[in-house]
Amino acid sequence: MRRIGLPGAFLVCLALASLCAPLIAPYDPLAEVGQALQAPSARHWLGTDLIGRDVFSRILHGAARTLSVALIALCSTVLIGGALGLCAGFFGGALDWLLLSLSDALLALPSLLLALSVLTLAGNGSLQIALAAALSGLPAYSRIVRATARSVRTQPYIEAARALGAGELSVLWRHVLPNALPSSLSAGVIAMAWAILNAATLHFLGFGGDPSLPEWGAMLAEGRLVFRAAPWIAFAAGAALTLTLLAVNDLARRLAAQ
Amino acid sequence: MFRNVLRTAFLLSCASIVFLVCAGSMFLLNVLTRPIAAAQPAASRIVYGLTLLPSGFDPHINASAELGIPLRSVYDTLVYRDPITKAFVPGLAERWEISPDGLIYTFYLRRGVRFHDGEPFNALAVAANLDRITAPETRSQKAIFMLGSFERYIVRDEYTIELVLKAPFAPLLDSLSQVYLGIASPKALREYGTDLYQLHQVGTGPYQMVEFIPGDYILLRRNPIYRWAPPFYRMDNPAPVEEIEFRFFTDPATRAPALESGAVDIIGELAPLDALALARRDDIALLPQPIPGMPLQFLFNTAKAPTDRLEVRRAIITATDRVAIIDSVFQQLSPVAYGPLTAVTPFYEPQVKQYYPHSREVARRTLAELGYMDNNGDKILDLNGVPLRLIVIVPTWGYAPQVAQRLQSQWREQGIEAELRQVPNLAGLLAAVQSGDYHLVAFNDFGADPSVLNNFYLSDARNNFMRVSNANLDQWLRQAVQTSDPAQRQNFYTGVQGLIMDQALILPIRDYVNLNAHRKRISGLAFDAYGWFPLLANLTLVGDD
Repeated sequence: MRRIGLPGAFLVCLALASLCAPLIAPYDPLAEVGQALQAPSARHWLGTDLIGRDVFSRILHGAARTLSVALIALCSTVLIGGALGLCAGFFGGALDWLLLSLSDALLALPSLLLALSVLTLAGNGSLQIALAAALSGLPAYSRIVRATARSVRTQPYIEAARALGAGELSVLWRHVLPNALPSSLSAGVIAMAWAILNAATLHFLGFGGDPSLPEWGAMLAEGRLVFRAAPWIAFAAGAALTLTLLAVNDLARRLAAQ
Repeated sequence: MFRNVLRTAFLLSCASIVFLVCAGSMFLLNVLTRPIAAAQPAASRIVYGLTLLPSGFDPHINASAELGIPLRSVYDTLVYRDPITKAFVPGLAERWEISPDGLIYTFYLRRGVRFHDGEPFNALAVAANLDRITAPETRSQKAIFMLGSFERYIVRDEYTIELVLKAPFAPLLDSLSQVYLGIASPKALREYGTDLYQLHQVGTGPYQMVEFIPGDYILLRRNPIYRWAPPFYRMDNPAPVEEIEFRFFTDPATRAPALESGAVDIIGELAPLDALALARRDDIALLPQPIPGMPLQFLFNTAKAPTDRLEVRRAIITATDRVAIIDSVFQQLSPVAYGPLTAVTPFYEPQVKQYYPHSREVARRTLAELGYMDNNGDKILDLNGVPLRLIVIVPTWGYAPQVAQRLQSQWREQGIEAELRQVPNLAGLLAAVQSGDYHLVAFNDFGADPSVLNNFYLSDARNNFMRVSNANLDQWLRQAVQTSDPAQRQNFYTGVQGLIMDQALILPIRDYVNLNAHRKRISGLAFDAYGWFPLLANLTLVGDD
């Protein structure tokens, strides 16, 4: 508990809640279960939306979508960006030049624009959004890992390992990777936060396929339309998103501090 | 431990900030917008809120309806449509004649008319405008298509011009009455060229463009020498508005607060719930304006199973409770739509109301007769193992997502599954339609002439999203634009509307109504025959509210 802190506990709870959403959500997130735009009450903890659906149930089910985006982003960023950055930083040469040029070109574009380009090519849908949001953070992440690998490879213990006859791949795997891991993981978690935010933004803008599926960004957009009459919809989605991002960022800070 | 307490306190304060930001945003908006209102010159200038930022504001080039809101009053047109009767009345042309074969329109122009830059208006000015609109380098997105079968013009004398057509085209007068064919000063057209003219527009209308800062505002000033108004412009206006500033309020959530705070005096496209809240205020009047043209509707793809079957389409319409949708999404501020034209469109046929009254029982029986049963217990009907599943393409505008979600919910209760595919923009919608992988798509268009249907229902139409090919429909739609006899046109359009509904080509939802509201320091707000464009010359300042 001390290591992950309150934000970590919040994320664990969120993950559990999203996994058990079908069991613990009071209502079907797609069903009209009451009158439209009812204020929060004992029956509907966060009120109902314009269609008469339970906002609390939709927030719970929306958590699963947000966290799956987060996981896809974390895995793809850490695996692809990490491997590329590590190899480029460690081996240098043409691979390094190629990665630098590519990431420089991609960094010139705002990450949201990059995500929009990916969506244009890959088509519209939830999975595509998750991938687009993840890939848009890749250039920045691979640059961080590359820089870490470059600083690690000049350390005396790397030279010592080489002097003892260790092969390049073995040095990379056994000495560079473990030492580059903490800061890479921390950067990966920050990339995950950006991916969550970008995915929510894309849903907010109307990408993502089915508008009836619960998603925090889309709920925020829908809540804005009825903000004066029913501020709880936008507030609930906004608060869920903000707290999750705060928790993820705090987790990244803790990982970096260790 | 102390660090944990600190961190908890930090997170709690962050949550409080989120709450304060959300709950206080309305208050902040009020506070922020007040200084703008105070900075206005009080009596003679008003602010009109635009709701869209179109890509361009040149009526000859661009197609957005938004541009007409300010520019309808900058330009006069050869003819006008009376806002109430929808009849054609003289504009810059005092009178006109149509040859018996419908191929030559002769316009006798008004004398003594001057453009805002002092240039005289005459037949050569009309010719220069037609040249500009039809020139390929202008790349007109709308005006050129509105000219239909226009071939050439002949300038008979200084105040007489003939428009010669290749084939009869009855909607020509309707086109000539629209701002897209407004007559601009030839001198200004020459001086500024294709790209820059939109920033320096010069017409003959009751207001002249003073300044246009793209993305920021447009300023119009009253034309003091305007003496050639159509009959529905109020020339005895005791307190006309001297200056009108148009500002952009593209986010729907900001419109009502802007009006309440006084940052804007008139605004349209209000959210229904906001409109109801504003209507309860003493200092604001609500003015819902029905728009002629097509309703909010879902077009069936008749080339893809199961909506290729007429009975399935009929059952889907019957299964839909449109009144419930209007009640919840539009707060009863829009009429239910029954056919391919809204009730305020000329040649609307009220008989369409008889088609497909809502009945879950009839819908269920129809589908059962076709063989649709829930054979696997998943609460979705299926036929030969294939579930009754509809792919619906939903744009983000016009409350289509909210309507589509209600449809999905209503249909689910009746064993019809709907997969909604939201598209964020027009390009996405056209690409989705191009693929052919859909059963319904939400789309509509506006216009005071029913020939707007031709763009959708002709078998070779650009927007034939229904993939319909019906010989009768083709013939009637074509003949209806070739005859100028109103009785004949009524016959054709009665047939067309009946046929479209009999074949269940569309699921109409609601007649479009623009929810406008204005502060009561202004009176006389009225709109032209097309519903979108205000008659700014008729606005009267009543005093401070």
